[in-house]
Amino acid sequence: MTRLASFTRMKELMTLHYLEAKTTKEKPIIWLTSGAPVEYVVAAGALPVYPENYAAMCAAGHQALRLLEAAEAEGYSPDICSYARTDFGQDLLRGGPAGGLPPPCALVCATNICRTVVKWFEAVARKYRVPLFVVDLPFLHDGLTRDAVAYALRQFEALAGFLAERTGRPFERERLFAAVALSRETTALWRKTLDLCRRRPAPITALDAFVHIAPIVTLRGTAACRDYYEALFREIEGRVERGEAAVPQERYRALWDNLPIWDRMRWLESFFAERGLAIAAATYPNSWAGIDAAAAGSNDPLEALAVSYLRLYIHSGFAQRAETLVRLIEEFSLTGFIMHSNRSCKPYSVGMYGLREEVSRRTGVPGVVIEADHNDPRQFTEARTITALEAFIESMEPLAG
Amino acid sequence: MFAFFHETLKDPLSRLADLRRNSGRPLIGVTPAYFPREWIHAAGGLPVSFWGAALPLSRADALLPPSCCPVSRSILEIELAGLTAELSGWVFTSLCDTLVNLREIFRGVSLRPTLVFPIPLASDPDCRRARLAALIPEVFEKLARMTGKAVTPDALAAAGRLYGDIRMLQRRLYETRRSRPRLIGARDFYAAIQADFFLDPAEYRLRLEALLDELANAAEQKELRAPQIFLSGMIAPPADVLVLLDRLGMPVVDDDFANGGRSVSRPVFSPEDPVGSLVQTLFGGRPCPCLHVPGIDRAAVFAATVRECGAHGVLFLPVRCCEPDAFERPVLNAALAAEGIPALTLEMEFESLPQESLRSRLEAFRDLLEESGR
Ligand code: SF4
Ligand code: SF4
Repeated sequence: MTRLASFTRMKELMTLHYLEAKTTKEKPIIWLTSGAPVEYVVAAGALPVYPENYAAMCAAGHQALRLLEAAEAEGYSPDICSYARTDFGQDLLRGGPAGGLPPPCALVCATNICRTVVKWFEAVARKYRVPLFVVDLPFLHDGLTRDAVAYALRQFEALAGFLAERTGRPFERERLFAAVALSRETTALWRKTLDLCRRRPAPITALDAFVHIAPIVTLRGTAACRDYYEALFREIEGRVERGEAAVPQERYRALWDNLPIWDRMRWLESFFAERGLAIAAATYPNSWAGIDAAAAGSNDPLEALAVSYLRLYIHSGFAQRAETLVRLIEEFSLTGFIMHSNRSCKPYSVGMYGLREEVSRRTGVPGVVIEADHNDPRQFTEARTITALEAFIESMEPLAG
Repeated sequence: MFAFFHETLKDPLSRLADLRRNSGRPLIGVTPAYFPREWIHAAGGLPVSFWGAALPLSRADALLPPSCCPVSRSILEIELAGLTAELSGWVFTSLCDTLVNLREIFRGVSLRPTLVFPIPLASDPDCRRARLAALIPEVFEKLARMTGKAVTPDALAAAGRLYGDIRMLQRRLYETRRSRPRLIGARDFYAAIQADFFLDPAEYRLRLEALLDELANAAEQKELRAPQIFLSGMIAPPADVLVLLDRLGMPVVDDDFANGGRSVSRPVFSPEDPVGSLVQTLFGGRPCPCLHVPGIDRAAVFAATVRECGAHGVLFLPVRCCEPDAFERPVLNAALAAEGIPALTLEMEFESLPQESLRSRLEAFRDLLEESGR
């Protein structure tokens, strides 16, 4: 990955977070999905823990396979999302970099990334005999609707009540507004950081962005998280000013759609760097770059929060997804796009083949689909991926810089 | 007794034109699951339900990744192959991630309008109810645009009665099977249930009434002593699996298929209490892994259902790549194991099921049940 001083700070932050999660006596542990409104949990004085983030850490550290196999031995089919299987495995073996996650006292799950998480968290709720609160955020087939926002806000209210009950403390709205304000600042900084990759050469790649999403997924709504992204932005801005490239001799610029292949990050990084390909944009890290944009259309911070949690790329109709891809290709001056058809992630991957055709037709840039899995290394075939990516790079030649 | 139902299911797509002409109603394709079909009828349409089919998947494969279930693949194939030209539109629910995206794919490839009824999953019951209250008029309006006819209270009441009658008759058929499991073979039973997908409901109601009358006087094959089984999965398996069960003399006593016992156990929509009845229509009845119902322990309900119907073993028939179903198999298996009820899992495809290996595994399961005295 691009050598960034902030990386050390990120590792520190994440280590402290997991250390606190494993040792805290005061804060109730609440497991969340990555798209859940964590600001409520922070405001309630609880400590959020994200099994998705932990599962990604397991895979990035090449520890997922053993955990997947343990879950499968318990009867969990390989048809189940590999994040969920990794989580079941870490729970069985107390595996992964933190030696397993601390047990939850409650679960909060939002359907804005998928419906899979409901099944996953139901299984956790059964195992730990803890209550599960599902925040149902409707899929936006035709863009945002007032009904969807009203439904989300109503559930946010109910969530405040649920958390007050679980923590045994009254829910304080002032603390909620403070957490939302911090999230807004943080997501705005993250947006600005990602936008720096519009510059040629790109100062970092989306592979770096994948690594640096860990704090925004896990700690948003806190000052430490905001400070981290402030520093990250400054550091990458400095790289832009000094003309430092993530990929020396950048010739091609592509977008990555879908989750990364955590186990293959370094392999992909070298493969792309050797061929002068900078992955300058990605749809996935944008998922946590929205509150500020949503707030622009609303005076009410909670409404802005609801809108930002509803308006995720993965949770939108295909017309909207195509628009987003076309816009990113134009704004980031991309010469192509890579679609990771992720065996585990149906909301991201079902329909991808058609989207590739449409986006290529509309932009005139080539796209490639590679079949793999974000957390299950057994689904990655190196030879097949190399063949597909090399052909793709060749097809970008006429657009190369 | 079952010839008419089998005939209905023999190439039903080729009869859609007749169905449309004879009923005088626009046909609306219904994808899995739980869309209240009575709403379509009340809007002047005629629902035709698609739960997947065995056909070569040349076109759908170009649009769907290998990890998609055969149900969604085959429904898309039917559409892409132009076999549904008689339909005036499609309705979807948000049952699973695959279907949510499938609806988006349909918007791109189908000439027909599509609408989606997003089934709410909110934990909070008041939020759920408020959401449903907002959704009902919205869906009615979209249906009216599809059929050209507004949903009126009278039409809703009439459709509710018609589909309510069908539901009651189907429940009687299920009860008949439970009380006399050797009376009806598996292939016949599911033909009688599935003919519902492709018939005018008024005709289906008459046929079902006649069938139940005949069954009341029919004699059960008492000499068959094979163990009784309960079938579980998202959808009833292809006919060749049912034939195999019949041949092996394994009577099916009950099931919890979304296109079987799960749907039949749900009440139909009633316009007198729209929201309350819709809550029951969607979340009442046998639990489904696709629907989040706080406070319901599906494994406990499942084990109790199996025990109460007198099944000696459970045959899980999961659809390949069906994630919601896959999540619950370990806990269902554990609940059965706690009750000492044996179970076997056979993954289902529509095509190219390995008949010989299926047969030998089923035989081994039957022998196991017999030996264990069950
Ligand atoms: S990877 Fe996809 S399916 Fe799995 S939890 Fe994330 S969004 Fe859901
Ligand atoms: S079989 Fe499973 S994955 Fe396929 S459409 Fe039905 S619920 Fe969805």
